[in-house]
Amino acid sequence: MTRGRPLSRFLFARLPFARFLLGKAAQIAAILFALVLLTFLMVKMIPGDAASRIAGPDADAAYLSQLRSELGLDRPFAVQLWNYVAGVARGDFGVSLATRQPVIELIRDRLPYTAALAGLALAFVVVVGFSFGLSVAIATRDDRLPWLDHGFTIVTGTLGAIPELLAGIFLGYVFAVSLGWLPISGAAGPGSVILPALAIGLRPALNLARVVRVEARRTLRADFIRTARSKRLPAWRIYLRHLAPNVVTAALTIAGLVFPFLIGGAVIVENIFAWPGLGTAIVRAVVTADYPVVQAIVVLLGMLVLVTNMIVDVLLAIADPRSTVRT
Amino acid sequence: MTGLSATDIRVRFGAMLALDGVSIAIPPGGTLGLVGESGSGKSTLGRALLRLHDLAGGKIMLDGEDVTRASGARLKNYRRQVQIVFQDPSASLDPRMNVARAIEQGMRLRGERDPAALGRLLDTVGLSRTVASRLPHELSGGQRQRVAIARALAVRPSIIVLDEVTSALDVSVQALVLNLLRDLQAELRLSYLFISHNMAAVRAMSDEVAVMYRGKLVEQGHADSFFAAPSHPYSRSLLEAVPRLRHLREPPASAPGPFGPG
Amino acid sequence: MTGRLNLASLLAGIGAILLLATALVAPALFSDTVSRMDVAAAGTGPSAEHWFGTDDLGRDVFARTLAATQLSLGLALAATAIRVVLGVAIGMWLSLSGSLARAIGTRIIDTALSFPAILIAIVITTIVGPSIEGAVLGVGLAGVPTYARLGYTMSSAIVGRDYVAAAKALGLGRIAILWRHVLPNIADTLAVSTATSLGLAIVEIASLSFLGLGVNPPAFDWGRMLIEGAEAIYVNPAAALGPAAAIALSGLIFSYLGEAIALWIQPMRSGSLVSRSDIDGAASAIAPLRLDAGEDAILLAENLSVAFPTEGSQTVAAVRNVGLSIGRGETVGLVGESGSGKTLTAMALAGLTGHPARVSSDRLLFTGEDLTAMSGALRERLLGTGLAVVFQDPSTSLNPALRIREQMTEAVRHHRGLSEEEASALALEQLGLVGITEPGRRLGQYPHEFSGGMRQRAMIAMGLMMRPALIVADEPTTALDVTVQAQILALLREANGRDGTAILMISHDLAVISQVCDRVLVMYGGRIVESGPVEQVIGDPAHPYTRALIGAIPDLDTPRGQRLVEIPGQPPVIGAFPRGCSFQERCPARQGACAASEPPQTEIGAGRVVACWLYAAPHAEPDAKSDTKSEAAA
Repeated sequence: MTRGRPLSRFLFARLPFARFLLGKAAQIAAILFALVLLTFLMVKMIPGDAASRIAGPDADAAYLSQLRSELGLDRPFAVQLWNYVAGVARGDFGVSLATRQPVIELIRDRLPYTAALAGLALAFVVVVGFSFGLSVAIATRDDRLPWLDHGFTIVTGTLGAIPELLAGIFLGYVFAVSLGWLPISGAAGPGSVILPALAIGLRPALNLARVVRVEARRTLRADFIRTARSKRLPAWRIYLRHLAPNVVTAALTIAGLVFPFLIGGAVIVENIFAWPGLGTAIVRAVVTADYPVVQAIVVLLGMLVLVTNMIVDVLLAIADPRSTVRT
Repeated sequence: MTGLSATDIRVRFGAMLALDGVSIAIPPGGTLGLVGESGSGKSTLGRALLRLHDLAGGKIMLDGEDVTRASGARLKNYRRQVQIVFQDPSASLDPRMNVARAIEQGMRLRGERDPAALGRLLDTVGLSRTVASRLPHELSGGQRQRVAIARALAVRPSIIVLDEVTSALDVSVQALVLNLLRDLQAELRLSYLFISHNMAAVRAMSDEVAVMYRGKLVEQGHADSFFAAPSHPYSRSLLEAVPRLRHLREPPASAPGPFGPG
Repeated sequence: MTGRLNLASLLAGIGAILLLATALVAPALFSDTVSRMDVAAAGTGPSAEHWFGTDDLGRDVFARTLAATQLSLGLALAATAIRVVLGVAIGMWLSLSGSLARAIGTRIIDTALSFPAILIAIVITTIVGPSIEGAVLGVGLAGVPTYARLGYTMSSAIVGRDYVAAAKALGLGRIAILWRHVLPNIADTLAVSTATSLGLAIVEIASLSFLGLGVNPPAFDWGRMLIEGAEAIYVNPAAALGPAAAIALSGLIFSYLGEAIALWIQPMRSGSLVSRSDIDGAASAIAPLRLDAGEDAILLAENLSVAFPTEGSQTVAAVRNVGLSIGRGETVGLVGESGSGKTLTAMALAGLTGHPARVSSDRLLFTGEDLTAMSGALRERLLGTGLAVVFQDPSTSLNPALRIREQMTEAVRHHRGLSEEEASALALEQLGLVGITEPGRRLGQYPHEFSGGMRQRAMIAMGLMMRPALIVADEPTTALDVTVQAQILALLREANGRDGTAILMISHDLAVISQVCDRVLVMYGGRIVESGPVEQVIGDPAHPYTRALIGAIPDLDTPRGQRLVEIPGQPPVIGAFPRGCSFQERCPARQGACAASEPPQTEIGAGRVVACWLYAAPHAEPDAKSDTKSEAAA
């Protein structure tokens, strides 16, 4: 039906989607600005001021005033804010107080590691969570295989409650220390990413599996599944064509919600496995009061989450036929 | 001018005008039946009369007093005279409040302190006094709707908006509630706004009838003349569409109605 | 309910009490042990003296783990208090605010929610400095958006209920509504999520401490101990074991405690309506009427029953000994109230009852073939091509994720092996026949692009694709407006006239049935109580229930002010059907025999059958132990 449609009609039909994308972009810009403002205020809100926190309680006055001017704390508030915002816009987050290296270089070195870790974990969560939850829901439909149902609940309830912190230490102990199959720390080859990604992804994957199973069970009781059964269609058609597409939407929504947790998990787990990403960098920066680094990483991780959420939103809009932006 | 009247009522939900200049008057001591299909705005009008929706325009008068913008004590006083009973009694009763508490709430607001009043009210709506301590889920649908009616009566209103009160009930229970409402009307001189999509129930209950279609009033008139000869084409198609029990197999209006296929 | 207190809940409860006791007692008990350094035994594994071994300074890990309970639990409690109190207050306040404040507030909350909680905690730790206060504030505030969302969602749901509207109409003020209606109705959910959240807070605070951003020496919580253990994991893994186990265990305890609270609350909410004091155990001790439908019956069911398993191995009957036949091209209506078993009967005939239902019958023939004696694949083919079902609510009965074309064509392609083009052409024709304009464009659309009436037209067209011998229509117009209803009823009649498709229509509305059907069966309490030609049943009802029902329903011809016939009491609920006649408790013509045993199906005229003791011939009175297959009443 789409062939031979006049161009004007085509453009008109695509218009809601363009407007939707524009709206999303504007929303991201607004949140990003709020984020930049927040990180600026973060340093401003430090009791006393940042310079005296860095210098410690018994620093001499000359060092303090030098530090103040270096941080720009001696200039008027509005000027400081402007300089900060303009700097961020140029990609300039200043210089690390600890290493004197431009912060942007540190980010450039470390961002790929965190992105790879979180991306791998997300893929693990989506693939394992969705297929596990869906197949258990189908296998236990109509209260079949009650032992599987119980087992699933216990496994996901118990393993799904294990925090990244413990999962990381446990996995590291078993697979790296005891069995020696995989490296325990650093980024020595592609094998190094497996344990941290598993540690981050395990809990969200099991929780997603739970959600997918509940959603699939609910959908299996839906009227339209009964309609499909009344047509006496083969089982694969009922599950793959009628059930799965209706569960994907829910799974995608959850996957979008899960990403912030993966980033949070990465911050913790990177520190267990000494993974050279942003998570190890931000913790060191907080402990050493290296504020420019903290600011930059908070902004960047925030951006990572925002962009991922936007991608999920767009995917959702395309996947859900009821969405108004689809044509 | 006595009774409740509303003029040129407008209610807006976002960009949609749910009520577009509706005017009605409820005959004192009588019943105005309000019919229309889903989405016609009839329930919105019922709630708007109780000031449960913000009005985008229009005027509500009770016994000659303008209550459109009444607030505070005046609004409370107005709401004591006009009450509402909803469609689904399982949703309109707080699941954690037993029958006595649900009804006494209103009696206390009226200043009633007589402990025997609750029992009398339960008698009035035909409920056994033993249900007083029960929670809504322990009652049947018909009993719950009686509790909802008793709760409305507790503040001694003169007007009650009945919003699809029998739609959620089993057919064999509907008659009991309709008969009860008619008895109460005669006994307590109540005025009703009887909102329903069930034309036969409206016919059985109403002195006057108003028809709504897409947020507008298309016809209003005396019940007998309306059911004998509705004047608006929409009202006609509505009446013709009602399946008749005692006139079997009349030639059906198989062509789509005046408003196209649903 | 035996499941009310299961083992996991019990263990969680005991665990929570032990945890609290440890937190209170352990620090005082082990005040010396925790800092005593046994240098000789430094970094060794579990032994009789040191149950969990020692850390690298030679301190006893077991004692330190127990002593750290107080700090770990205390900090988690403080953080949880911050998030619950602040969050719920914000959420409830928002739910009562104006629409603009609501829109802005929820937008902010949702944005904060999409932000990793640990980053929020890190920002706060940066401001306050790595410390105990920083960790509590950080973990607490990072959870505020979650609780603001929860509080808002729950409170809004309650505020939107009819009973709050009724309370407003009574003149109750905002605070009274919040206090009397909103809080009691959200308190339980809040308690559940607070317990779960406590477990999460323990983990989050431990994580911060582990990163060096929380508790610092000489103070120690589980997270701090974990750092010291993890650093030495190569040489002494046991040192990490104590605190790790404590974190995992307490997390589990609180998450199961949450579920235990939820379980404990649930039964109070839903409650059980069914009192099963007098279940009719002798449901099947009755002779069925032998139905002589002859050669042209397309559907014949004898002694059809549907039962549901209850606790133990018992079953509760919902449909009892139904016998019916439908001739080729015949239109039959099945009328009854909710719980009468009419829909279950239809679904059992169509082989579509859901899982726990157990269907049994003496004979079940479709187009002359015995469905009960047939292989699964054959039966699927026979029913798939010969029987179509139109369901009550077209907005939920069509798959929202698939285009109309696929939903209409998939069955003919599967059963008849039609090509995509052939099937599409057929679908186009059928959509046109049910009066949908521009069928070509409509085929490419999704169900949500159709109006309610159009969806039901599409459902009917879908059913007709296979040219079935029988359409089962289950309340096909109940979800529709009256003008649309008339059009759908006309369509069904049309299909019957054009293709000779037989129709079994289920409805609670006798008037709707009378528009389509030649014959009607009246169901009550899981049984057919009367059947016959529609005109005769309506014009001269025989069963007291049918009579009362017709008098109770207002009709457009009912004179205004005429009292409707009242039927006292309620229809019986499944599981509580009385022994004997189901209608006896509400029946004006009740007699002694009614409670004793079920009335037999008695023929009272051509094609008219009624199950009532008023009509039963004295010799037909069945022996209570008679064989179900006897033909006494024939």
